[in-house]
Amino acid sequence: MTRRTALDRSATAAVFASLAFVAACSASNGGKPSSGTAGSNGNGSGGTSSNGNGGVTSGGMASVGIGTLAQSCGTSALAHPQLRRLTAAELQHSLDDIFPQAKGKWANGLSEVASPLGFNNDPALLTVSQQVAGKILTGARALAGAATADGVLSQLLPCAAAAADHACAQTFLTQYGRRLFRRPLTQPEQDRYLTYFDAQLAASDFKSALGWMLTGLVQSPHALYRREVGVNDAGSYKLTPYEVATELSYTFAGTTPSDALLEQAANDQLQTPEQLTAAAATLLATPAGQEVMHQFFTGWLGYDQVPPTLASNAAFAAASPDMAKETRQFLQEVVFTGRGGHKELLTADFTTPSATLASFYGFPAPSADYAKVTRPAGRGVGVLAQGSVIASHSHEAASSPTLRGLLVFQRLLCGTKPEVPPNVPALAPAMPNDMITTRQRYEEQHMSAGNGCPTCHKMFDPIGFGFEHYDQFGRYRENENGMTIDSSGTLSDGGQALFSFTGLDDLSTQLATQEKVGRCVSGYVSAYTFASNVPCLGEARRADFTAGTLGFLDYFASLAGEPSFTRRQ
Amino acid sequence: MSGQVLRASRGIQRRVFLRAAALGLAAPAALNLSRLAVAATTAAPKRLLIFHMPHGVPHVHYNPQVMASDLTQFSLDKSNISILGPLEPYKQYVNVYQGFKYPEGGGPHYDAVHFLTDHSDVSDVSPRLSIDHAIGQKLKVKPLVLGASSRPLGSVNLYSKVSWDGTGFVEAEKNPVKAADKVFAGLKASGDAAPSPDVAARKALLDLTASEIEGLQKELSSLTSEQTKLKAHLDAIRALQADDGTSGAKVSCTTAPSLPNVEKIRALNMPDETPSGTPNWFLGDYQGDNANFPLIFAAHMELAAQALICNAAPIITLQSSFSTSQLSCAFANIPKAYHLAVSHVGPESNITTPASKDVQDFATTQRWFAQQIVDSLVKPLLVDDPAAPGTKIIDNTIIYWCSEIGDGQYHNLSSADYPSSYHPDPMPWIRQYLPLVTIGGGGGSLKTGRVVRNEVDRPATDLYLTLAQAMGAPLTSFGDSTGVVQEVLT
Repeated sequence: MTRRTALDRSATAAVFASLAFVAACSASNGGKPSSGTAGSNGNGSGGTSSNGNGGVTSGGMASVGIGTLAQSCGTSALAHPQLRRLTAAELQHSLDDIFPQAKGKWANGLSEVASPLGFNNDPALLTVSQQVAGKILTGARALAGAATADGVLSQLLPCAAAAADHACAQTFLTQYGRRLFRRPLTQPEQDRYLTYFDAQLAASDFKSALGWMLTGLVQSPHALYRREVGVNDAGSYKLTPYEVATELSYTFAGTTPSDALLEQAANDQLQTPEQLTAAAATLLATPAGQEVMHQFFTGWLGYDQVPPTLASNAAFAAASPDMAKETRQFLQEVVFTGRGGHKELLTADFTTPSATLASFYGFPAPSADYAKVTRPAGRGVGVLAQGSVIASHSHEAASSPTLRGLLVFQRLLCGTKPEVPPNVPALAPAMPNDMITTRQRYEEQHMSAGNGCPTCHKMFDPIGFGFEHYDQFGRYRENENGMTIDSSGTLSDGGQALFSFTGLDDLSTQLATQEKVGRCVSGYVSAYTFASNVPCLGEARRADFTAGTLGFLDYFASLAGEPSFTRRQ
Repeated sequence: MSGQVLRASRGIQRRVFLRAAALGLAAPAALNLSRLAVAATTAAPKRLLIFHMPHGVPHVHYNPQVMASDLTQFSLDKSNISILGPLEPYKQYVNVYQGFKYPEGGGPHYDAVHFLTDHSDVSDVSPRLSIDHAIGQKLKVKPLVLGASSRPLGSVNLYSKVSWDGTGFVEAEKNPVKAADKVFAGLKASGDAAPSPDVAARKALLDLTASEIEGLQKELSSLTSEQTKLKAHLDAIRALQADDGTSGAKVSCTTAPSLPNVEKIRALNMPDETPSGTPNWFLGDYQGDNANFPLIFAAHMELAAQALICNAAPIITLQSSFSTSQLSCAFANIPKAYHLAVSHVGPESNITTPASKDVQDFATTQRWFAQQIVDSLVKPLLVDDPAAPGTKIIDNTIIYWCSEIGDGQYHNLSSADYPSSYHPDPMPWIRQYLPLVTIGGGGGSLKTGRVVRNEVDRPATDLYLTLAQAMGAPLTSFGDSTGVVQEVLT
């Protein structure tokens, strides 16, 4: 090993001070921005506000800090009333479900918009700009064209064949307006739309007039926004049955309420927590419901964007496209088949690789692509050992204890990452032939006193050292270029040491025992569900989830029984 | 140009020359003044293209070599890899700006949401105005926002949000075929078409939608945050109502131009989505290795150039990529991820390893963009301006080439000093400015062919205000601006 001088050490410091910026640039989720900065400074419409007359506060997720997600409150709080614009996927699914005959013949053209928490459903970010309004209009016109095409219209509106007139348009309005607005239209609303229809009929023909009326219904704020406002009821706001049906359907199936669900709402059958959690569970059992749960995991973990390490690793190039699917199938097994919670997620002793991936990892071949394979002993447990997760928290040419540590710090411990200080002073670079491990480099430059780096890096780098037996491609390695790897560490929270560990298996297993991890993960589930900046909305079954006696699916469904599901304040 | 206009311009030249000579100016100076006078008085429409190249630059391969103290004497091709080198033959049109700053805060690259705007906060929630739209609103021209690889896979995140129209961020149009068809739609229509009845139906429908929003506003009057949301929505509907779908500019071409790269993509006749439901590659929603990026990028640049030439889109913002993009730089023969592997190389690497391969790769990548700007924008704009014969398009255009940070590793948002052994001075420090360049004369409004240097940083919004005034947009302030950069305005 080359003897290292003081200059060498300070030179190395430069390279790894620079890595602080790399970590800051890419945050903990494969490039998605971290929160605690753009999110928590209270700017924008995501902040709470009230008027002078004691008006009600409201807000979306954009202002929530990750640090509040693990907050424990004992009893559930109430979120604020809000309008939640449909996401691109929710809008598409809704209209496809209402007009299945037109499915595949049009698209809404909207893009999903990611929030600092990694989710696409932050109401504060789902605003309607001129461009968005234009895309919605264009998409609605495309749907209108598809829905009024020959062969389709006759299925949607049988009366059009016999009498394409005002009365037939009223039939359409009553039937489809109810689905689009997720409640019956009021008389003034019906009058307004029919007056518009009549004017267009006079200027053109039935199909054209109907198409324009449909366009208006689709782009109406009553269709575009999920309404969670309620009516004043003894000091808080009780959501209407239709609002609850809407909330149920989008939260647990990502689409508009069915006719049956709207009927249940109309018959006051969505009242009690038991009725609501049962309805939620039913929806979650559908493919659409499973997709909603999967969207939670892709947002929370960011595993679906495995960055290609392009520096000449043909084996990785061949295997990496399968990694996201491996993790999705792994989640399917743990969460849906096994009905597991965060403990199972962190400690499952299997994975679900393709044959190519199994060979890449050096695992036994699966019976079929993405079938379960028990991991060899000492070769990883749980989601943190997933190739997609590790590779998306690495650099191109090396592992990254900082990125991996940040993943655990933010997504499992709900730690708030401090802002990177500007203009960290440059130091001399590392000597090219230095024989030190990645851990040694990071310890020298991030954890040594004198350059300010340890102030922040001591929070997460030590966690990341536990991953060091995994290279940047997500594969286990016994040593690092012949050098012994030290994967021991101590996990601290708020400056207090929680436990010591050696290796990723030990780290994952011990994380699964930490109460704070349970609270943090349940906080993310709750934030995803309610899309609110108010913490502690899902307390009723939170202790059960944290204790490991309630899995993800059941905890998620239980949120339908929370006070905030039917009331706001 | 008509004979009448030609004679008039010659007359202007002669009068100005004689007056300048009478004031004691030597012949060459008087002649230059007369040429400027023609340019200044030309009725040529002005064009603006904002080109965002993310991730900054390694300054040791970027900073112009400036001769002595005359900032009009400089070289762009003597800085090692010389990122600006392709512009050397055209440097009479070029200004390199040094000594500007963006507002600090928020973490690396977060300033993507404000570096071109009148806001300084890093929230991506509150609507704001970027300079392209600010100028467009004054000139009643709608900017065209194009993006070759302007967002990550799946979602728009804050790093993509560089263009804002006051109602929200404007997502770049990623499909060059769709963009071209819209930009040149008027040139493809034949005959005098009767006004479509759809126009009236659309207007009436937007009125209906607006009334619904107003009704909700009234109903939810106590919910302050929702009022903000609904007001933004109402503003959007009103803006949509006023939007006739055109750029608002007077198109000077009579036929649609040839766009071979755009047509290559059109000929593939692919749907927007792949069979697995992911966006198709020409929508630019990819990360990492994508062999199609050169074609997509070429199509956008070709479209931009022709849209400028025809004055069909006089204000364009082109997002070549987005900050933190991990796009493979194989297009520049550097097959590494753009953000983490290419741009994150520190200037400290230069001290003991002057030929640091990593820093050279970064410089090579950014120089590739410079070469594309020259090949796909500057050269095509050297043609006569059909809207103002006697001048070139480039004379009447401003290409503003910018990045959201200074150095790729240190992400400085203002001028800073870092050591480098490349610096020719005895002192081993190299100044790291925000890389900001204009190319083109703005219709005679800009003095060109110089390095513009502030010893004390000025807000970048001063430069934006300057661009606005050069474009003839009556903007008197913008964000934290303190005034125009007078030394470049004629």
